[in-house]
Amino acid sequence: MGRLVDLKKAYADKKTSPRETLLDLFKRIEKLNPKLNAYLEIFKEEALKASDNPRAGSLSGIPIGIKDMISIEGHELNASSKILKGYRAPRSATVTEKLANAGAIFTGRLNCDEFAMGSSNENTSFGPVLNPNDLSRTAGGSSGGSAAAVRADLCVGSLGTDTGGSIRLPAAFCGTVGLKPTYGRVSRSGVIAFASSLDQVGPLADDAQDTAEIFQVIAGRDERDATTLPVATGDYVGAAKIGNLKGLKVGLPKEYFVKGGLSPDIEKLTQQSIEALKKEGAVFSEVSLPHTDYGIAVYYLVATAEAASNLSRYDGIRYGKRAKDFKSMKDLIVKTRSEGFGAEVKRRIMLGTFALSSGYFDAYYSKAQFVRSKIQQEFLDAFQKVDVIFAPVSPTTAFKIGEKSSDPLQMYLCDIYTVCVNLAGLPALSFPIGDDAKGLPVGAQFIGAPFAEETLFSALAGFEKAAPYKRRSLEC
Amino acid sequence: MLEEILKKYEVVIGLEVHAQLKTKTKLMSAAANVYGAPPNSAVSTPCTGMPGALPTLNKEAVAVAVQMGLALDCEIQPVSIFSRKHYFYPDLPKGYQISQYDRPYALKGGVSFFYNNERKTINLTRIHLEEDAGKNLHFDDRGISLVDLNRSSVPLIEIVSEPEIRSPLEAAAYLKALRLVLRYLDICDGNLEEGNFRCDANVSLRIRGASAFGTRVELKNINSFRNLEKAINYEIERQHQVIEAQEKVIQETRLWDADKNKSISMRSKEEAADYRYFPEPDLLPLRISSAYIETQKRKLPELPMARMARFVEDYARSPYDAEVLCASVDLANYFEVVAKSAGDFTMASNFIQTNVLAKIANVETDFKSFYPDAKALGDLLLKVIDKTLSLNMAKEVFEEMLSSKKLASQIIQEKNLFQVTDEGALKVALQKVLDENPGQLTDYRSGKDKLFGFFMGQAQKALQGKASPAVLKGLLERMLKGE
Amino acid sequence: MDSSFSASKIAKLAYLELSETETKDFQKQFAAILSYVDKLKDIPMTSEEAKKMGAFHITTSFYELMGLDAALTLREEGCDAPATRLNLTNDEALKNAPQTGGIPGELLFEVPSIIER
Repeated sequence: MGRLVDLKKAYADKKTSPRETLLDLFKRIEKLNPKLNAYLEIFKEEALKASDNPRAGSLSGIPIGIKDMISIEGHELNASSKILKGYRAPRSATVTEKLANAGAIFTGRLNCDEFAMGSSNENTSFGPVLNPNDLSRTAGGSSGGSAAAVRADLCVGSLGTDTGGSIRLPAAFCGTVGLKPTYGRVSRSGVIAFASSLDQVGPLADDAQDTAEIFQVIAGRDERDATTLPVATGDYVGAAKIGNLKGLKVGLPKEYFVKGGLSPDIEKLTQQSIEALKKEGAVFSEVSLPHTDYGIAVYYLVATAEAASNLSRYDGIRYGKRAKDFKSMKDLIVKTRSEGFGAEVKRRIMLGTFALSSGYFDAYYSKAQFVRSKIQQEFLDAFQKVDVIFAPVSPTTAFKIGEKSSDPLQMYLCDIYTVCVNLAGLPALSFPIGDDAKGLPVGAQFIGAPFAEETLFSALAGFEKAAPYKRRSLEC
Repeated sequence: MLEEILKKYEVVIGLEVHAQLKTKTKLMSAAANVYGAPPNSAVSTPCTGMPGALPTLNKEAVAVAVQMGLALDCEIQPVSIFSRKHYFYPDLPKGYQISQYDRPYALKGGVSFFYNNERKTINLTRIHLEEDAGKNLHFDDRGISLVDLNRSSVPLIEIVSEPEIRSPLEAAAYLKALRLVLRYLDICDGNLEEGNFRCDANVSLRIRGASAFGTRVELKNINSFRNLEKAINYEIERQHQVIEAQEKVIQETRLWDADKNKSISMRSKEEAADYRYFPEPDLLPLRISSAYIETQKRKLPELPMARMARFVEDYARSPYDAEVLCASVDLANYFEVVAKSAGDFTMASNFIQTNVLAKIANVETDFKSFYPDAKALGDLLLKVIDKTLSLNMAKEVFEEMLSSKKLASQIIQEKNLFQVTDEGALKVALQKVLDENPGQLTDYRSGKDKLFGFFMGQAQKALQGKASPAVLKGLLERMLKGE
Repeated sequence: MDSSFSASKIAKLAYLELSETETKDFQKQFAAILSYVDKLKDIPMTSEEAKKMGAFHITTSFYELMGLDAALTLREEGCDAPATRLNLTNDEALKNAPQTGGIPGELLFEVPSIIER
């Protein structure tokens, strides 16, 4: 049983109170966070106060951590960047507004890659997030803090964002469940934009039911976000309770399972999972996604173009940290941005600016969008045949801190199994399937048709019954 | 000088007009769209570019933008797209403006107006929707600028004409006609000085008879009709000088300086701006159905040219009169009510133009509180038609109505202002005048015809101005002949 | 695909100032990234497709997929519109302003003079 559902029951049975739970939690945070660096800021006072009389709701008294990309009214919000140091959000994001209305208690701001750009949570001005399973390794990114905090029991659930795998990858590296919703299922209003057509906010938690509980609250159309759709939300909590795999049609994309694409341990565990699913009645077939290979190229043009555009507003004029020495108004903006942004952010702004620049737009941005539409169509065609697609999340388990940070292109290639899902706008649920020989968690994902999160939750529930993942106790 | 230039060269002008829409809220945020509010008080997270804020498209702004497109006979596009236009400036909080680039909501169309007694149409290229930017207030002596974002994201429509205008006067006529349509639709106040209506002019010269266009220069900061004319004329002379000196006219943007009566180049040493346009990912393409277009069509009021034509047709007005009387919807309404009550269209038109308009400072606003209102004025004119009053007396009553706010009939009663038409009484008065002025009578008889007016004037004076001029004149003529 | 990428030129457009080392590093890294991205030229695209697909939009594709009416996404002007909750008072708008040396209680954002001397 996941901790969230457990806690709800414990509250209902009066076995514990929100205040006790939070006191314990903050003790753990104070002990472990200095090592893990998952939290940038802890809302101890506010959370304890709220725990005395939490609002009624489906998440009443449940401690949730929030990625430092998502606004909470009155709280500092940095996007893990120097350029936003001191900025306090005047309004909550729709998702935090909804969580608060459901009684959730925010434990603090979670560390992430700067402006959500990265796969290892090493691109941060405030120190990397370490993997609770092995402190010499990364927690994955960009939502490293969100995954590490859940895994190390520094919160019961968290919110992250996923633009190219940023929920699913850290979830896989740390050993938690993470959902990237269908694009347009959850509101982005109040969430710092990285790539507007790819970003989604999603929950991380222990298992299908816990994740569904959080998702149930945040899903839904928002008039403040024109990219959300007027599609009725489903019964995700209900779906996560039903674990019936019989007859579930599962697709295996042949392009995802090429020889040598996965480390041997991951290959083995992935095959074992497939067998476990088959045993419960899932029916596997091969699907083809021929443009998979172009996914990273497309992603790094579209995402960086949109990012370069979205980050134009950080100029030191209305908020954030303004440069001190400047010769003119223009110089103020240039110095603020140059001093405030980290190297990876600058790199992506440059790449994106280039992709949009005069003379290159057709060749880069237009071409990328064109290929993107093909990638989406291939997935939609596959879902004519299957209910879900089963795929790996990462070619390796968590790598060592500093191992890939000298070669940006190598870092980008980590996203090979995750980006196409964002490009197609589909939902995907990442979950642990075992540990490798070094004891590092291995993840896999169910990818679904648009707005089919219920199918994903119920498939995961089935898998959890068939092959439950045992989390070992952590040394840290 | 200009005349000489224009004998050899033809000036080619295209105008780009930005009109602010008077919607309740802004284009991309729900902040209030108000003029003159305290700085940074009509703002929201989207229009101040706060992290995480998203744009939401104003339904009403789309409706009035489409109405304007229909009023100008444009082809409203079934699908149009918003694009981001990037540049860094303090009054542009997101670092980009949400505008429309290659897929505007309206194409073609035209603006019609009377010019040199002819009906002329200048074709349009396009109209698109975009956000306005904030305002920078400069305090160079303190070395700072202050930024007010109240205006950020106020809805604008940009109306681009084809380069078919051929003189500054024609440009002014085009601009006035365009402004009138905006005012008739009541979607923009059309005020150049206040800045809710802005005009940039693209000007180039070419040898008369040539088919290719010369290099065009963009003129900005034109804040009045006078400056429009001055700026274009200045540019004609400037470009002429350049051409005559065997140099090339540089394609650039120039700012008009109304104090110094010259334009200044805005050219910097850097390359032309690369705005890195791309489709706005936070908004859906704008879909306009034919049903929607029909709905907006039904909301259109009678447009200026149509109303003027109707005044010519139904009220037998000259095109000039019709244009004057259609200067605002309120004025045109006023005229029609007066004309219909009085029944004499010419009298109504003349009286309004001569007397009423002299008292109206702003035809857009002042009619709402003006007295005599149309009905009251109509009643006054009826008194002239039924010969109770002469026209001159009516003018006096009108003046009295302005200050006392009383009805014409009341004033006539109270001041006993009935016109004297009785020949007997008038004859007596006239005889007295002739008897008391024998010298002038002799002079008149010996050819000084002008003294007729003198006798008329004296008789009117004696009768406190109440004599019917027509009757008086006829009597005087007979008396001067008969005797 | 012409990949004549100039790190210094692009930095200027993006209002970034790079050190010499940064410029050199970026120039090198971009050569690698752009050469990787070059594989997209394997996929042919006509100019009509370019025009159409430049505006590819996931949300639009989903509206079509689910048969929904996109006209519902325009914001009504009523005071109860959710977007109204994002309206700010002057105080809230200025609270995060990083201006220095300004007049206390200033209602506007302060920047150095835009007119370059």
